[in-house]
Amino acid sequence: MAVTVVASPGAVAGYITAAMALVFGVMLALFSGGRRSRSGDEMYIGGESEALLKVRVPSNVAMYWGIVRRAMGRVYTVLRDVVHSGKLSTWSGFMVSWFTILMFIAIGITVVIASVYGW
Amino acid sequence: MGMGLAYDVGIAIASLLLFPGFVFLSALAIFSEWFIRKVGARMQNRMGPTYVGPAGILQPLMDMLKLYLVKEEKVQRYSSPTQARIGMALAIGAIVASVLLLPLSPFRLAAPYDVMVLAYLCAVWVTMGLIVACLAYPNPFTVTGTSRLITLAVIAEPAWVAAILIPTTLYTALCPQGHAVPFSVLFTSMNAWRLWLHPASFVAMALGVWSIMAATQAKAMLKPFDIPEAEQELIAGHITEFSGRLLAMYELLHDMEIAFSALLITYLFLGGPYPFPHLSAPGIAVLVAKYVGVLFALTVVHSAFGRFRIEQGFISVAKYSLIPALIGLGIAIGIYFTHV
Repeated sequence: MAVTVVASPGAVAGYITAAMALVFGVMLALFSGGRRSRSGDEMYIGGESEALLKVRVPSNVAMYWGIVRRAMGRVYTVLRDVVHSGKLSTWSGFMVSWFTILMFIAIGITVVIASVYGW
Repeated sequence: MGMGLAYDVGIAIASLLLFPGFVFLSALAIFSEWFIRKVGARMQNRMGPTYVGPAGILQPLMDMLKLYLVKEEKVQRYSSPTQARIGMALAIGAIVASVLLLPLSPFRLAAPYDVMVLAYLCAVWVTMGLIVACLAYPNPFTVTGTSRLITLAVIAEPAWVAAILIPTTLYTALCPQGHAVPFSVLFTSMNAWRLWLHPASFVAMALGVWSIMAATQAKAMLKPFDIPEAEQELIAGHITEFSGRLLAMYELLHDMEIAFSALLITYLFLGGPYPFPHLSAPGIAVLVAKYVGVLFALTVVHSAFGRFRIEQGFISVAKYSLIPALIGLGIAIGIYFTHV
């Protein structure tokens, strides 16, 4: 036969808290003890050493490559947008302008060398 | 008088520890885990648990027993296993004590506005207990997982509380006995089936079911809300360092939370076995069908979705749980002021 207790909210909160405390005790008793291992008691950080956690900023090498990758990423985006438009004329225009610059640089260097050392 | 009191106390302790308390809820939790694993596996063209017991039904129990009896508990240098146990025992205690508010229990507690006691137990103690347990093992993965858990709880718990207020408000407004014990979980559960018969309250109840299902999915960390655990990303997130008995305790807590949430939806929103009595063939059939239906709906979502990112999870809970719950609660409050 079911027993229904209708009480004040405070009393029900008290009963429920007592019930919770009883189950809490049972759970603690049930799950205490067991086999424990202290071998390899270091923190698990995916195989990394705990010293990793002391590093507040990335190392110099990591910073360098981070910046280079970020900067090179932008360069790559510019190049891709210019060269990879899918139009042959865009590509040839880019290549012609690039080779023209290289040619002017080569001529300039040749002129400098010739004027300094002579032919 | 003395015999009567002894009988009441005896039946209260039996309800708490045996049925529908700790023992029954543990069995239901293990069944629920098996159901989710099996149905989810079949949806994804896998076998699921197969070998232990008929159709693998005892596999979750064996997994838990293996953790409890055989596996070692790794004690980490900075850990506090006792703190972890206290946190999880508090959370399990809160869940088990909550069943005394449901009509399933032979010993039932009711009070005006006891819905807030339920909210206090399930939305505060369970979450707090879990956070206390997880932080007992300091670890970058654990801290990240726990911070995600707290982020989800910040939105899922208010949505869950708003959802459970819908049927209790409607019961208080529409049922004649609602004025005697207003906002009672027990009496709302016994009359929830009536709330589906009124056109206006039907809309509010439908919104309530929708929102509490979404909130439960997030509270129980079922996909797509398994963000705190995030297996491939955070190893095991908030439970990375748990092992042995401690992991068995966590598994039990997690399964109990799913089982109790499904039971609460079955009673508070879907009306349990009513209008049939509990101890009748139609009553038991209706109750089991509703419980399995709720579990099936949770499983379908769990199996059909991939994991959300934390901000997607947060927005999804707000969109699919909090907002429908607030709209439903608004309708329920409107009905309340019209009828009371």
